[in-house]
Amino acid sequence: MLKRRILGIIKWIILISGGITMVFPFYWMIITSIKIQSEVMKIPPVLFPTRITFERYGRVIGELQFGRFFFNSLYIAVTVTMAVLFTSSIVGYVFEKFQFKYRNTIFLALLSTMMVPGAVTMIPLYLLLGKVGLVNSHLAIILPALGSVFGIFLMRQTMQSIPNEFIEAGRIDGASEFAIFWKLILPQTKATLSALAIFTFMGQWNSFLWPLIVISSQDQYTLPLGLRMFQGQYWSDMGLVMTGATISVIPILIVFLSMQKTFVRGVTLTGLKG
Amino acid sequence: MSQVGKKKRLDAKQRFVLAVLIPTVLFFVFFNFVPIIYAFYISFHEMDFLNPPTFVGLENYKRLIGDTHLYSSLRVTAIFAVTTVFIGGFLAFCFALLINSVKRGAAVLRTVYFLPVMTSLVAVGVIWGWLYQPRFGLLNEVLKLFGLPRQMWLSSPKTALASAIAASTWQGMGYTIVIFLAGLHGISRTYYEAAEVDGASSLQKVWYITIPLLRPTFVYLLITGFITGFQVFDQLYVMSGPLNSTRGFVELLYTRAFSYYQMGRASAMAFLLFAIIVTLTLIQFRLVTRQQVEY
Repeated sequence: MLKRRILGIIKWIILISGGITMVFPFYWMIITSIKIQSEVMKIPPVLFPTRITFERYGRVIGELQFGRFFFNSLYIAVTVTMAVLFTSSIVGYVFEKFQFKYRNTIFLALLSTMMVPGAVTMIPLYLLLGKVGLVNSHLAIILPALGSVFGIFLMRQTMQSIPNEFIEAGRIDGASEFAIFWKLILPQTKATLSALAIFTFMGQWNSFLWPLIVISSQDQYTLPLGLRMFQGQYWSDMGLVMTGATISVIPILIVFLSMQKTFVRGVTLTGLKG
Repeated sequence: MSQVGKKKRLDAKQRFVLAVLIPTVLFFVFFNFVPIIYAFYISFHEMDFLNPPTFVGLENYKRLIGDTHLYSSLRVTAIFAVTTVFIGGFLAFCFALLINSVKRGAAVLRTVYFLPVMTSLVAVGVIWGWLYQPRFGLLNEVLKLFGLPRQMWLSSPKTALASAIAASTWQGMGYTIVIFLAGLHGISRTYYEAAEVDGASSLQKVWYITIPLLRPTFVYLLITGFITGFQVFDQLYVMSGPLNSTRGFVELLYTRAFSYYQMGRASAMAFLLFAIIVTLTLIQFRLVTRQQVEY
């Protein structure tokens, strides 16, 4: 009995120290961003500042353009997410519920592209987009992301559990094929759609390599690009850098905390990594 | 009358299918298939932005052999992939077991451990860069507290890669924990109850019941872990150590393609990466599908 209690206590000590390790870097980021300048690089470090300031936020959002980067990231992520939800579900629906020639061949061909690493396509895609004059515009990020093979695959799986009778009933009622999809089928896939939405949004919000390749002018930057530039330019002013980091991290954490059940279900449903 | 109606209905269906399918096929042809074929074409050429491409045959592929930068970047990438998969996986498994065994607070713990997963890798690099900062960073103060010597962390070629891997493990562990937890929920209580009747210890239960039954989860994490691990870019690029000590394969490829405009050479590298990933995946499939456990 005593042994079990001791083991129980050890278990909680490990879990709590692990939890602190997970949370502390965020605390340190936020606290660094609101410390007064003389305490930012003080030795020994100030863990609990008595005086705080929000001055840097105004400067970083306005003068240093983080407001703009935030808006760029937000509208790219929202546009791509909306588009991926629509294209994945309608294409998944067509592949699952309709018979047509070469259906399986086309589907397999699509799936096979998932095996190819992004490193293979990024150079030719850059050159092709350059030829049509789209490099250094947000379209270079948005256009290639409008369709997702993974999303189509996921939505097709989900459509499997929807009985064909729904579609037949819609046809008997004289609804158009699109109306059947939009009004009868789509609402039944909400659980998967929300998981797909979260991961598409997160993937775009955090995406770094592709924007790094195609975006060159600063007013087109997304948050990760802005943060990376910040790190290089203001390495001696950690207060500013951490303010930029906080602005790019905290919104998505709030979204996560407010809908974490959907999130965790999404991870296990899709098995998808960031 | 009904005949006509049926025919018309069929047409509406076909129109719908075509209206969806044609743009889909065009999209993926343009954004996936054409680039893959084009990349293959580029890999046989010397190519930059200014001059027209010149055919060089297998030259770009031959140059992969004996390319010391490439070897060192492959080494960095392999170390990254192996350590994040195995050390990260082991830690995540332990934490998942602990979280799974608590009666209260499991949901809160899961949330807390998942927070870094949501964070962009650039932000992770920036935050940990600050913690690792040799002079004013917090980690060296923590070491001092325990009477340990200061470290250079990301600023020394000896410790940079390990430091970057530690930060990446911190970031990715929550994801692995959630996958393990989902697997653990799928194991029926009755197995454990039967083992308890037989007087099995906790460790024995983990070894003889949990691990064999979680096999599909391990396989999944192993394969996807290596696929993503070998394509690592963001973390190593943002937490870069001196003397290319953290320069991974994709970063070298990126630098050659977009800083030195060696598009052909970089494309040959991309196909090498593709081949490595496919080979590793096939080997892993072979190894893990040999034996299956059933109870």
